[in-house]
Amino acid sequence: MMGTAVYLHIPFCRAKCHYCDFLSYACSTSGSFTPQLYLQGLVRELAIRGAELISAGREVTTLYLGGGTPTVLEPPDMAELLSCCHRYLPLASPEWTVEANPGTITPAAVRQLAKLGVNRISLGVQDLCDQRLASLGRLHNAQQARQAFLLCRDYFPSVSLDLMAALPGQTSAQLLETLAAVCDWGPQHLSVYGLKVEEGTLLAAQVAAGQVQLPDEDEVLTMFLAGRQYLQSRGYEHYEIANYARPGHQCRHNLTYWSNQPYLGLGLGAHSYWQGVRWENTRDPETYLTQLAAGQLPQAVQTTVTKDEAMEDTMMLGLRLLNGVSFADFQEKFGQDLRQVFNQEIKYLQSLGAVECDEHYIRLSEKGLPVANVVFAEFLR
Amino acid sequence: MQQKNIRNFSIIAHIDHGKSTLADRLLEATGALSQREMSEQVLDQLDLERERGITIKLQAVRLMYQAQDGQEYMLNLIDTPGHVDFTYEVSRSLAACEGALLVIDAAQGIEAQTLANVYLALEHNLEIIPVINKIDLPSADVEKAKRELEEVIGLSGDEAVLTSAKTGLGITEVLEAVVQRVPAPQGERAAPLRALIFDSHYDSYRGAIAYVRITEGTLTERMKIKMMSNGKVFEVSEIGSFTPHMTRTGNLAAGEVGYVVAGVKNVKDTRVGDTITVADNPAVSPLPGYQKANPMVYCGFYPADSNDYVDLRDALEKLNLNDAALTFEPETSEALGFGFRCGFLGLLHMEIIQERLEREYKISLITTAPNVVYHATLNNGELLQIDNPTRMPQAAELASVAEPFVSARVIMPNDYVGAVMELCQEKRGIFINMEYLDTTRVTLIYEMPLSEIVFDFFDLLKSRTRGYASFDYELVGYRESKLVKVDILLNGAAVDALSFIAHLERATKRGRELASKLRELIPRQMFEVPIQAAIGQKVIARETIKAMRKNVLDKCYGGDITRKRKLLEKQKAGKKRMKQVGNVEIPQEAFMAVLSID
Repeated sequence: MMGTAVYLHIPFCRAKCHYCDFLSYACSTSGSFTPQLYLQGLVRELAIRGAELISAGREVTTLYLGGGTPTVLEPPDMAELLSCCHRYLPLASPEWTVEANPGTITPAAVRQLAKLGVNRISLGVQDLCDQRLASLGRLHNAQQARQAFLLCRDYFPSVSLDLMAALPGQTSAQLLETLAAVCDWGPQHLSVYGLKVEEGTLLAAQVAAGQVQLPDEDEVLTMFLAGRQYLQSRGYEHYEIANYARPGHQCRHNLTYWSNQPYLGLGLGAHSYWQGVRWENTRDPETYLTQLAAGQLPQAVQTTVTKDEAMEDTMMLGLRLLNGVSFADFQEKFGQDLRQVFNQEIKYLQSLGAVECDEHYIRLSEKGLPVANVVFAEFLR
Repeated sequence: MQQKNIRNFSIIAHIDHGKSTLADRLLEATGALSQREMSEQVLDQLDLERERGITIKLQAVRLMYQAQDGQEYMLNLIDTPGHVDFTYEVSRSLAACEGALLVIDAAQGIEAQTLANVYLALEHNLEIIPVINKIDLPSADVEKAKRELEEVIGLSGDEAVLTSAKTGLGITEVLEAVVQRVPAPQGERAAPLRALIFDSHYDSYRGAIAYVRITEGTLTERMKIKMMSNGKVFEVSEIGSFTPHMTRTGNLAAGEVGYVVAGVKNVKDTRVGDTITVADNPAVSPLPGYQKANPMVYCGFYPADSNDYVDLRDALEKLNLNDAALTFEPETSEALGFGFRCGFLGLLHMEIIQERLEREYKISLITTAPNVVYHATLNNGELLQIDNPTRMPQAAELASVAEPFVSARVIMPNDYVGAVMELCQEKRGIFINMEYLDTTRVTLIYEMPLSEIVFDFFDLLKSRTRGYASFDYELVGYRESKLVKVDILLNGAAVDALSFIAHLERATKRGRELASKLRELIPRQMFEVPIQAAIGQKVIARETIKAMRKNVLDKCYGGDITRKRKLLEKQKAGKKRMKQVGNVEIPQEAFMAVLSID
């Protein structure tokens, strides 16, 4: 049976981080958009999609609760949501990840998640410098991050930590210190994201006003390369531009995205790629709830992906993986030889030394890795 | 109409002194157009002309006027362009007239082009009627304008007609002055035909249409006419006048102005300045024609997308039909591929052609920095005309190089004399003369290299005099200068389209500034790109574009692939606007960067 990836979006946070432009709302227990009301809608969507999956003969092999901050849900609400996943989705012992923030996690909640089938936690640690954490608008400190990790370690076979690089005032030495500390804890998986200033965030305004100084391009590159080298020396495989894993602990859910496989996204503003169509759910809470209450799916923007676009997406996403894109997989998927379809692009990128090919794969070179956008963009026609 | 009731006249003025508005009022007052047909500045037909408030192409119109003496007069108004680039066209229209209205802004007084135009009118022995316009402005100073007329030009201030073209004040007086003061045309109507072609345009249905002033004889439909320059014979199918729309009249007699359609397929056969005569009873000699307008400024036009090459050629051909002053020939650049080296009367002319190509023909262009034509003498005595810096021979082969010099006239309030002198000196100007127009305004005459004017003289003059200076120039000839070619090397390879010619003393400074400007303009590439400026083998400046360090999107936008794609597509679109030379991607504006230094 074909495996399927399912994503559930929980659009609530205690507070908005200064750099974040994801769809999330402050968590409140009153008003017209509470977590309880939202979950009613989400469970309805879950029921509809679950039935579809079953009738299509699909199994859910990865399930990912992201946000927002899923762990802001009250334990009874979380329990209800997870039970509904069991009830409606054709789960086939999936990799089941929940995103959590150190400040929002309790021993009881952790036990409950593990008991209900969650086997992977992604902890938003970001940094171990309390001052920088506070200036980013994060609500936890380094001590809480470590406690949260220790708690999770005992309950989940795979714990991933999200860390940030290229933060205001951060040096590569400081980043390495942070990496050294978290490696000592021994997580199975690490994601290291470079801070990106998104329009419309508080951070963007601070940068524009000159209140916040970002490290320069050279320093950012040093962070990336030194961080990579360090993590590899500690036994983590660099398998995607921003992701590192101990053997057997790569994030299967995210691999679905990168290998341009179909997935279903449920919840407010969630994205899906399913049967050749990409769509986004409505981003408006009221529409989301009313449509589902009326038994309708809350799909908003929808586009059919042409074969050309699918081939481009396969390159743009697949080259994020250090293994690269397999010629055989491409041939099987599209019935065409990747090297012929993108002959010119590959020649050009090879002349720049940005990609390399072997018998089976095309991948980013060491030189291409830090400037991968140049490579990705080349494949878009 | 009898010749004694015909008046042929032009309007000449410095830019912005109200020439087109006055022309519109004359049309309105004589009922040539109904109020409904009037759009602002009727005679400026090109969109660009209306937008920029300038006249580019000359136009002609016939006005029927019932004068106060009870007689009806035919007034042929030939509108003229108002920019120094188009002096040549002004001269053409003046040759078809007996009189000119000299419009002076009552608030501004006499400006550089006022004088230039007066001299042209005097060369053609025209009766000049001064018109002091914009007298409704609070800042108008009619007495001062009159004094300037007397002291600077030598016309009686009392003869000036006072108008406000904007409000319509004084328009009748202008029409009466034309009737009373402009001489009626003379010319034997029974004599063999001589008609001067003063303009022409191409109509895709009727072919080339000649705009003519009949000097002697009569022109009628079905007549076999002969072009005196090449002897070609055509049969006239339609004759008419401009009202201002083309209106068929069936004939034109000596003294009159109108158009001729004669199945001329090639616009070259209605060459401006040629004389039309009758095939079976030709005139003995042609009228004095015009000198061909020689392009003063050249630049390369390249299609940003090389697939547009043929479209660009077609568009240039079409523009050329109605603009004989535009020249173009194919050229190839190693950096930019196939394009055209185009010649223009001046910078404004160049900008207008560029804008028309982009707007009317929707061709995205890469334009190289404009340059003048250099005369290079080789050691073996051979003389070369260099219209592209790339073609300048190496210094070792050169005996000498000469460049065009102009006589520049700047008129400014005396507070700015120091600033303007400083600017002219900086631009290698040679002081010739300084005169006070009155107690507050000064004329400076400098001789300077045209190439310096092509650079940024206009902009600098404007900024250093807060827009109070006016400027005009005319070519005075070629002079030897110590000129060198500066090449720009990117990643070790010379980029031909970036080469420029500069005076030896300034070459190093300009080379350094251009290299530094290019470092700003060219985005970081995958590898380090050295920029060098060199004279021959000698490197005079060096800069480095650092390699792109980090350009990768780490963030995982969940399953939002569309967002990732959009970010990358934006990056890709930026790249498409660049020209790839070797492995280096160069943005379009880099090819004009040499203009924005100094």
